[in-house]
Amino acid sequence: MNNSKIKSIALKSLSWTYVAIILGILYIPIIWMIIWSFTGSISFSSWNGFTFENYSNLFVGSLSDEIFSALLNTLIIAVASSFIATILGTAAAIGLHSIRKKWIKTTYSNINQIPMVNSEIVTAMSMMLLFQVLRRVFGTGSDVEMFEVILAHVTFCTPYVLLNVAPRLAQSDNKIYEAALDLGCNYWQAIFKVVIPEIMPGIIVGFVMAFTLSIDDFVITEFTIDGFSTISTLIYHKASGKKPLPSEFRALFTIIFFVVLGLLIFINKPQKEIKENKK
Amino acid sequence: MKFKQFSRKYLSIPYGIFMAVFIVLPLIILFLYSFAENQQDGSLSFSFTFENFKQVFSSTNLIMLKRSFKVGIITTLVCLVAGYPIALILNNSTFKYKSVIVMLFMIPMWVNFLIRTLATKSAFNALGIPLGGFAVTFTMIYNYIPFMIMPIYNTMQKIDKCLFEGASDLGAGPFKTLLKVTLPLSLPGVLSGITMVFMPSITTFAIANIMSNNKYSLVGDYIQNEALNAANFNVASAISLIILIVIGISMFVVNKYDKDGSAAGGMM
Amino acid sequence: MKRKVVLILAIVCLVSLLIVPGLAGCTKRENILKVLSVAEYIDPEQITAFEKYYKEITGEKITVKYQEADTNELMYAKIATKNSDYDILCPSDYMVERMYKENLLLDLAEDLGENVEDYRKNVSSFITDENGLFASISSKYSCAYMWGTMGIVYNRGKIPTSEISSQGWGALWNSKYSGKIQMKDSVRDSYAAASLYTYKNTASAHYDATMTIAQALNATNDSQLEIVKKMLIAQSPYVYGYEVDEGKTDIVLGKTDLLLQWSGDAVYTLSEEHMDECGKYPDLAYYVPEEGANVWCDYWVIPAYAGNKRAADLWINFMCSDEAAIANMDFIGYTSAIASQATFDYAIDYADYMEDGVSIDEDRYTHVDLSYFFSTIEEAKTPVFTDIVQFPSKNIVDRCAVMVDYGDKNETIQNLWYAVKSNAQ
Repeated sequence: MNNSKIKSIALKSLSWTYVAIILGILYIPIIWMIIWSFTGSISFSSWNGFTFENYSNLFVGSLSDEIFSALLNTLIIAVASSFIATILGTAAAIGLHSIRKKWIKTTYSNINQIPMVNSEIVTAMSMMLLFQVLRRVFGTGSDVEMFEVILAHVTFCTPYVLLNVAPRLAQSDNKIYEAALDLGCNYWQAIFKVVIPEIMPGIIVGFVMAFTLSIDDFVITEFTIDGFSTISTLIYHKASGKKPLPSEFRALFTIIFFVVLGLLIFINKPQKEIKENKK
Repeated sequence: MKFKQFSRKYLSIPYGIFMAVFIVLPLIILFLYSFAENQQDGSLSFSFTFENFKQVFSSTNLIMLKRSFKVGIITTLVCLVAGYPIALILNNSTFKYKSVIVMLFMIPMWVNFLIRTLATKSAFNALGIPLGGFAVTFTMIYNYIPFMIMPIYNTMQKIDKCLFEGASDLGAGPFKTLLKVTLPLSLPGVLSGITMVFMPSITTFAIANIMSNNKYSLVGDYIQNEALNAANFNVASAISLIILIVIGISMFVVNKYDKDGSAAGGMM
Repeated sequence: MKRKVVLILAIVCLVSLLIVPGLAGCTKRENILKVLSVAEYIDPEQITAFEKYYKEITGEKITVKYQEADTNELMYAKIATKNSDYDILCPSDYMVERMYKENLLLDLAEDLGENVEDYRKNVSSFITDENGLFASISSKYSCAYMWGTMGIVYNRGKIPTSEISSQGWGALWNSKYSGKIQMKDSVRDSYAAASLYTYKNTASAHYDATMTIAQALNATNDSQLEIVKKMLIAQSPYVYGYEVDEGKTDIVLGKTDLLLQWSGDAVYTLSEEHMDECGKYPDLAYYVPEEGANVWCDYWVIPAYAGNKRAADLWINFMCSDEAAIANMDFIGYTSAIASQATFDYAIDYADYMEDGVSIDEDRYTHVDLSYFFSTIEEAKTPVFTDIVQFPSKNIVDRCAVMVDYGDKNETIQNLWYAVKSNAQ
């Protein structure tokens, strides 16, 4: 009896040590980066003393213009694409919910799955070719280039919105919508006053998820971007085969890490609600 | 059929059209490009050829392809061997803050992989470990292990706890329970994890180049080069099409085992 | 919960209302100048200075959007296949030639208008001469920006100069320096190094005395392609990495000892201030092999789909002004194509090094014959004391040749490079 207890404690501590080691490996580089964001030296070989210079340089340093415009572009793209994706995805989910024909439903949701399961580089490649062809047909101009990236982002964000909204709809009671119609609401009123509020948590999670995916994306953006940069493409072009990364970027990484962390905590909170509701 | 003024069904039309234009049409264009002759200006010609596929599998690319498979297989195996126990420990644990730890494994999946890769590179440089093949494989494992842990963990979460009790009631030890109950039932998660690690690890570009000073190109880097530098869209399309087919087949297999899509569905 | 939801939606709406107008483009295309050039290839202050200059001349506001492309090939791809509407590009000689052949360039404005002083005439006749080295490129559609040579930066502390000069390009193939050699991740430059090594080195098995340096640099016959490919693959185990810009720091940090480099980046690498930053002082030097090398020039050109040609013409003109030329030269280390009194004065600014008698790198700061470049300047007739890395002497340039466009072999050579990269050990 006692022996087995010791055994189980030993097993437990052993397994948690293992978890801690793997977590350590996962986080050491990130923590390393965060620590070194507080010193000014270009290389990681010599600590130049504690400073917030990297952070202030993001706003006033020689790279600040570039970083700021990339940040603005990233935000414009993220807000616009997650907004469009949320509207498209929610509408699609409501529509799909009331479709009875099974084959339409299956085809629709299977096509919707493609951007999620497909390799990013294949999606990127196919989007690039599409814009290539469209440019040849409709001509080029500086006004189209951001729309291209936004459309590409909507393409890979909408499936996640749809997938977050659909379970909420499945839980909701169809009769309420019909009751609203019977009580004199028109279709739009019924949708906006009855259906939407009920699935709101799903819509919000979908929106935040789309937003997170969009600001985080690199591969698809890199293939469709032309004539401007976002944070991730800027990082790539500053980092690949170039001079060592300017030290400001360590500060930028730290900030991005914490922003994503915040968004992630936000996504996971309401998600739990859904699961609880399900039970 | 009587025409109704409005039905909620119609709300699915805008996204339906959107999908046709931005999901289906691009794949059709990709398909056409992969069988078309290369044009200097990158336009789509309508002359049919197998030349692009021949070029993908030409002798000069063989080393790159073999190397990609090697990196992909090692990455997948290490992720599986190292990740499965994590999922198991997390699943069996009754620890109060377990959700926090699960979350800790999830966070890296959402932090831009470039940032993680560059962080690893700087750590390697500081430790004086040379960049090259080992560094590339390590970074792949580092980047993709959460993608193996999460689907396995999600599948395990869905296994009915009564099964474990039943097994132990029937006299099976913990090891036997693991072998006979947990392992087979978590197989959909394992399959899902493999698809989420193997293909991305060999098709993601930038990681291999960053971690090897541009010496160690993988399939992803090859596509990127052909698509963005050489402007040979046809070869890039051909190799993309092959990847698409491989993914299609693996999804088909995974869906057969994981019918409700629970493993991949609970990623976030 | 409900109130929260409404609040969040309200914020989202507000943000998108603020951002969408920006998206629709409050700045009109006439007020934007899109430049696609190489990374770290301009003094950022000169961009602001141009915006001011543009305002002075036209009274209009202009915003410069400066984008970077890693290689000439990437620049070409953006224009030729994506039909991007950049107004200004900065490709190298052979790429200008290719773009012109494929009708991807617009002619520069001959007359910039009244009250605009034309600085473009200050470009050295060494570059614009119709019978000179760069004869294949006309100033009708291009205007030279920076020029230089290609050579090897090496760690003199570890490898003596005599050892390098006796090997020439072969040093990059010497297994003795295994793991310490850095090459360029650029088709033409690596190709050039390999080609020059095989054909101009008497020790090499492929020595061919009948070939001129220009022929060796630009040869594309099948047998040579095969040899170069084998050479580059054979070299790969010794190579630390293929880079574009990162090599500058790797060699200063002591990670590498040999680096295929362009003269301007060599100046940057050799500059001591930069070494200070990294906390180490390796003794570096730049060498242009005796058997011959590449002399190149990067040009400003206006691509065919440019959306703001007027601003592009003014940009080119502004970059030819003395102030901009000197500021850029000083900032990036390359050599401006402008041969005016002011740039000459900048070139001989090292004279006080001589008087101080402090220990200077005598191989680098020496008397250099610049008469070929500053042909209009009287003082340049005799050798002047300057930095020979930044301002190569006549005898160095004489042993160099210019790359020309490969024409229909471009794709073959591109594929060759991938073959090398994917076979690299």
